[in-house]
Amino acid sequence: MDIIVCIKQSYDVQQLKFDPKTGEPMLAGAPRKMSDMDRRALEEALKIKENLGGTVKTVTVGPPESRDVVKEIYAMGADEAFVVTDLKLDKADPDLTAKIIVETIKKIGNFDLILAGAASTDDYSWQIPAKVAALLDLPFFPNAVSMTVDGGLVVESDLGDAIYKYKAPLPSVVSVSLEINEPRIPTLSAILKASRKQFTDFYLQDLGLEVVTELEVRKVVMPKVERKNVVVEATDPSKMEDGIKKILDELRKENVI
Amino acid sequence: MEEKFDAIIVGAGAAGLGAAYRLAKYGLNVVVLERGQRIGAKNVYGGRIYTHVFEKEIPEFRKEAPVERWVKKERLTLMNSDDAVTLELFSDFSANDSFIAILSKFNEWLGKKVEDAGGLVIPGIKVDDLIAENGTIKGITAGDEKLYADVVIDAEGINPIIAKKAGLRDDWKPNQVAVGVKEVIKISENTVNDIFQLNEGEGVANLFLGYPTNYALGGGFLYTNKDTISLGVVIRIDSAIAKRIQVYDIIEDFRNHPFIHRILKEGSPIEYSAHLVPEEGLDGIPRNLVGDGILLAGDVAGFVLNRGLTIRGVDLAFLSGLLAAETVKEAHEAGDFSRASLSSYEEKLKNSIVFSELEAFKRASGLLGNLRFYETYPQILCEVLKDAYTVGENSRKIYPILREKMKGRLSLFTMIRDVISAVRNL
Ligand SMILES: Cc1cc2nc3c(=O)[nH]c(=O)nc-3n(C[C@H](O)[C@H](O)[C@H](O)COP(=O)(O)OP(=O)(O)OC[C@H]3O[C@@H](n4cnc5c(N)ncnc54)[C@H](O)[C@@H]3O)c2cc1C
Repeated sequence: MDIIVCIKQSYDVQQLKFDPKTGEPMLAGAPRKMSDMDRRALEEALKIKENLGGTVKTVTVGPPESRDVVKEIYAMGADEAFVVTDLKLDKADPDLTAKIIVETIKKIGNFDLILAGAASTDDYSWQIPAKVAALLDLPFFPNAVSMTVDGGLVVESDLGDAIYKYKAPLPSVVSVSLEINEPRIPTLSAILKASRKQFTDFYLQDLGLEVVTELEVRKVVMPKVERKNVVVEATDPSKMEDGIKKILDELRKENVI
Repeated sequence: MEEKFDAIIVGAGAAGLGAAYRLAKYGLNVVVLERGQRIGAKNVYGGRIYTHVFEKEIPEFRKEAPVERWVKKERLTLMNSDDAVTLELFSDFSANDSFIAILSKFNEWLGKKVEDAGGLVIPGIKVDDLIAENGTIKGITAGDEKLYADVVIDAEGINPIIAKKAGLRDDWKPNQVAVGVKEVIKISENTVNDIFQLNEGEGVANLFLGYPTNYALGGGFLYTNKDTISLGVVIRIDSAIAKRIQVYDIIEDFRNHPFIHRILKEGSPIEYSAHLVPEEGLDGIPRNLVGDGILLAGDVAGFVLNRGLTIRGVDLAFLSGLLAAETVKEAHEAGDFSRASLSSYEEKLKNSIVFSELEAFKRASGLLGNLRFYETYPQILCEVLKDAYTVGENSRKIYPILREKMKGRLSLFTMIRDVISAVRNL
């Protein structure tokens, strides 16, 4: 089976620091990595390939530093990576990103299945896989928690209210959730083997596209969590009772007990 | 595994990356293995790097290196619990440039340079052991994987796990290492410029003696990054133990000292870290820096210069890496990786600034062990100057104040001896 996986290089959100004053993320030079759900989509594709044979190709769209994700992609075991970069793609909206992905997929050619993470670790818009499916006019199965392919594609989708089990046609677009699998950690020998592997580097003009962003992001800020900072002093053990009472009073005042 | 490398390098600090950069430029097949999840993730230091070796080795250095600010002002501050006396040198330092950088970003950049030169840099891999055949090192193991090479350059930093396995060095003793704790505090670029009276791109390196270490052996430091401040304390382990100092509490006290508080009151910490640093100078260097199929570079070899006022290790680490690479290239050409063949590394080091600088400050490590510089002098100086500048009923000259403050704490003879020894040795 020939599979195409959409993989974003997102910010490593756990490493992200926020300006304590403005609450804005400090993005300049912030570490990046393969988006968590996309990594699971790749893992799922590799497992299918290991079972049934075929190829796993990947599409990555983003700012120039996104090229670094290719090392991770190859180390995990993908056959061929395609990357589309442009400085302006840092601010691409989901419509544009989906369009670029689709144009790249058209260049790649034949496929039986498209996989992607349901949402990226940083922007978390949940829109790309559906838009890709729509543009390609393919059926879409969101948020898969499990999938099997032998004897036809079967996808279990978590749609919030319940898990729906679908018999899916091929080709289709499936987005995967975090629970679907535990992605492999590449071995040293796999990393070494992957380290000099070439990838295809597209620019927007190769695809006949340009960056037109209709979405304007006004602000990204950390939610404010105000702490009350109530300190109850109880250094004298004999006054412990008082201290406990004060704590209970505080908690009652907040209506938490 | 099939692929055999010309060299495996353990650790992607300045030492390992220096070695890799040079080897890659020679066209040798080299791989750096780094246990941190990304290059730079595990690297901690104070804040300042001396330019010379980098400038010579990497042509694009000035254009590309992630410099936060160029050091324009050098300051030394002696502190007691309330007051501070500061000596400032304002200069263009054009002859001997140093710059303030975030070490993790700097090493990340060096890693890119290594890759551009054709070397491999692989994070997320911890080297567990060496592969030895008949006493000669042939490669490394990581988990259950093996990797072979003609030679291993051990640049693992301060914690000598691999070097111990190679029989090249022992663990550090408490009087040979210091622990550093550091905070990065976010303020704005303009605030940094205003507070320290700096133009764009200019920085301050400020070192502190006395109160920041609770008068134990060591010092405090403050470096101005672009829009953050690195603030930290370095304390020698034996002194911290003797004085029962909680290293983590002490930086809190330092940050809240009125002199620092007024600088940082607007800011909030965004990062904490801690790391060890060798303090012994020449005496901390192991007898053998090479074995059959292995060389040591950087902190693991003890190449850190501690002049009291400055800790300097990044440039020496990088330079030792370059020299290790040069040695490996010669060994490669001769097809001989025995200890005898690699021992020219030791010669190269002795003829380089790594040793000449350490040699020049050889006696400093004894001098720096003199507690009076951390305890007595900062306090007396603060007290004397405060009294001298205080106008009152009976204003006095400095000398009588000094004699009064010295009473029971310090003899004139000891002070003169200390001053002479400081001037001679630092
Ligand atoms: C608080 C403090 C302040 C300092 N201030 C300054 C300063 O202002 N200026 C200056 O020039 N120097 C300063 N130094 C010294 C300087 O940081 C060091 O000398 C220098 O970073 C040493 O570089 P290195 O490459 O030898 O080691 P490191 O930078 O420690 O690199 C070693 C690397 O090896 C990796 N490693 C270790 N074991 C393994 C393993 N088994 N497998 C794989 N990887 C491994 C580690 O993760 C690490 O990344 C300071 C040090 C401290 C602690």
